Amino acid sequence: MKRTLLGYVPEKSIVYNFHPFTRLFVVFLLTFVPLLILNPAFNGALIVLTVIFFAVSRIDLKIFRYYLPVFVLLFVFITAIYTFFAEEEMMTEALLSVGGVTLYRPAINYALKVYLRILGVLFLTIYFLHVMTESEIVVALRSVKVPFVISYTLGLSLRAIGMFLEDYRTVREAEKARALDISEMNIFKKAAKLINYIVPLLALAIRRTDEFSDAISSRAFSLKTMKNRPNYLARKNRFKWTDFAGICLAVLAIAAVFYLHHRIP
Amino acid sequence: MTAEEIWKVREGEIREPGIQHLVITALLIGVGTVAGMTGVSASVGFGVTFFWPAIAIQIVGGMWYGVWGGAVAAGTFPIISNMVAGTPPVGSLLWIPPNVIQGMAVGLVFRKFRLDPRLKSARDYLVFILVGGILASIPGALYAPWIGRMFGLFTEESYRVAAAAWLVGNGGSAIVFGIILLKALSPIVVKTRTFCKTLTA
Amino acid sequence: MKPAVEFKDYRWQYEGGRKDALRIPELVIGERSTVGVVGPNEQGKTTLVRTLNGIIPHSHRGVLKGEARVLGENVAEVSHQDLSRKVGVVFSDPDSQFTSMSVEEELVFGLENLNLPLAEIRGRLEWITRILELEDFLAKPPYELSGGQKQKVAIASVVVMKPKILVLDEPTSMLDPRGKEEIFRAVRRIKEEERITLVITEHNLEELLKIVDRVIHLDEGTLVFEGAVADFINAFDYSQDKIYPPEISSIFDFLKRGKEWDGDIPWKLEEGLKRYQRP
Ligand SMILES: Nc1ncnc2c1ncn2[C@@H]1O[C@H](COP(=O)(O)OP(=O)(O)OP(=O)(O)O)[C@@H](O)[C@H]1O
Ligand SMILES: [Mg+2]
Repeated sequence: MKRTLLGYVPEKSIVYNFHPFTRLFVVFLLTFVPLLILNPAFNGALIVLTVIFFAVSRIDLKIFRYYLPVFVLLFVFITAIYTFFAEEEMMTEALLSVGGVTLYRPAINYALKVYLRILGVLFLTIYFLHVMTESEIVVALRSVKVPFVISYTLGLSLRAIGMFLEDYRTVREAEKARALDISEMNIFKKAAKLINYIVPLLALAIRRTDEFSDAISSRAFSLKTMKNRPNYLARKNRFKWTDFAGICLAVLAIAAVFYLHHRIP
Repeated sequence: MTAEEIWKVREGEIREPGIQHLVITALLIGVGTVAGMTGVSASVGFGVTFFWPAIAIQIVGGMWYGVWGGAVAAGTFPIISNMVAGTPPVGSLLWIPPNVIQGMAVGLVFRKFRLDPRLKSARDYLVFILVGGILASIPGALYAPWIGRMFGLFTEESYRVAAAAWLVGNGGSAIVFGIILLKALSPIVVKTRTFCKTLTA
Repeated sequence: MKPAVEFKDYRWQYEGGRKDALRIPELVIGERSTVGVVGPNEQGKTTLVRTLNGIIPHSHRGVLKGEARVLGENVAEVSHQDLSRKVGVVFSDPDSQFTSMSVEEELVFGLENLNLPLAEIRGRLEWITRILELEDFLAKPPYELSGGQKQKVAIASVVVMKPKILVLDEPTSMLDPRGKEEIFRAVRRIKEEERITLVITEHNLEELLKIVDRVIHLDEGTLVFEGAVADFINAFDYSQDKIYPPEISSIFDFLKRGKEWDGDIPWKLEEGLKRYQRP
């Protein structure tokens, strides 16, 4: 198993037939579907497609368990909005009425469409976070000649996130040892507690700035000599025919979707 | 050190961006993402959140590190932490303008009027609360429900409620967390070489 | 032998600092020697290290007086970029030494900065991977490594740049005993492989003195001793409690004061045992 941003991918997975850039590009291209299209047919199809992606990448579908609360919470939030704050023109046909609150069919219909769209986005994003590692994101950006200062700073940021997550856990463990369990507090207490984590994390960041900078400049890095740098890792990640095929397929699919969407509103 | 000395570039003093500014940018993105991801943020998708303590990282970022913290880091880390909450980067790009305003506003005003980032006087507090807490949150408060509406997350009817909730939730966290962070860490930060007297160095 | 480092009336004061962080009236470090820099906390060890590769005065603000020459060049005049190609430095926090998302990236980062041809980068990568036994780590991200492993990668990523001088600033101070051992093993391996000038700062002398030839002692930011290990250990003030000498040296000092021993004080355990068993 290889650890990725949010999960694991088996050592042998179709994912590795695709260059990190291809993975990044295809997922981002597909997210335009839910971003721009509300039609549930397309978003439904997209969700099915993403689940197929998960399956052929051999990622354990059980991971969806973790996201279940998010899915439910979103559902509740959106239906609540369309129940209590529905637009005038959506309040035409009552579906049912409980204790003075009326659900209208058009409003709820609309809410479901919105829900499906958001679900589509969520599925794709979760997929992305499951098939990419931090360093693959950097490799992807460098492969298409994103300026080194940007890809490097992003890599350093991803490094910093991992580092501070570890620190955060350490601080929390220490709190737990002192029997301060925040999972039982209400949201205001939690918020107050949170500052106890942010202050030390930020203090660590400030303290580490010097040492990080010294370490980086000690390896002959300078803002001035970043042009025409060799890119050693590019050799290990070459574009193959599968990448061209994947990218072409994704572009064609998106073109078809928007064409169809335009034709059948 | 007086507030004047904190901001003033002395004669002959060379202040230019260096590696340490790239480093602090990355580290702030790290802390901001972790703060943005942890437990209590109430995210409803597409970057719309009503309680978001990471806002304090944006504010101190702009106060101490000018555009590095207030624009680059403040604009970037929400993209990453939103992604973990399911918002695709393409969607988060829409968030850059209000995030940059949130990050830069109070730092700009403090530099312009030579106020003390260690919050020494009532005037420092007042400006911080007015600009950092309230003014800087207004664009986000107007913008969030608008984005939400664009994707059907909110309706016309809920716009005002959503805007008010945003203002209170985020403005409130900005004020409370911001003050605590500035009081705790400004005295140290202003002495470091990474601290930005100007907007870039 | 040609000196690798020469200091003359050198002083450095950080901006905002009340006194000189470092004062070195006179110091010469010979090429290819292994030097330990010892001193308690806040006594200028890191400041000395920063001077050796030009981070001071080029990236830190402050006032420099006198002269520091590294490989024949005045640090204040040569660019930091040039100097950092010849002087490799590793600092103490294993987390802040690791700046990218995989061991392999970390190892090639410096080589790419040097603008080496890809074939050369590959050769050097294979070389360092072999001598420091990093094969199993190449693809790993930092969070899957222990502190000791991160630090070893940090050292590797500097050594792979083939500096003339390698400087390690308290490389083991944040590591557990296993991590410390791993680092000292790696340093010994590098010494066998590459005949470079090696400067190591530490306040734990036990392990340090086993691998260095000479010692520099800093106190209150001032150089108070420079000489061979044997001289250092024999001239050492065992009544102070700022730095801890090796256990065995303390024992022999105790014996000496009790007139039970009148020879030289050893600093390696085996050496001490051997001597004491002699009638
Ligand atoms: N970046 C800096 N800016 C200002 N003062 C500094 C800076 N770094 C170190 N100093 C000061 O210089 C003096 C010497 O510090 P230095 O870090 O060189 O000591 P050290 O022997 O390496 O200590 P340690 O064992 O804690 O690493 C200290 O008084 C310290 O506060
Ligand atoms: Mg030190």
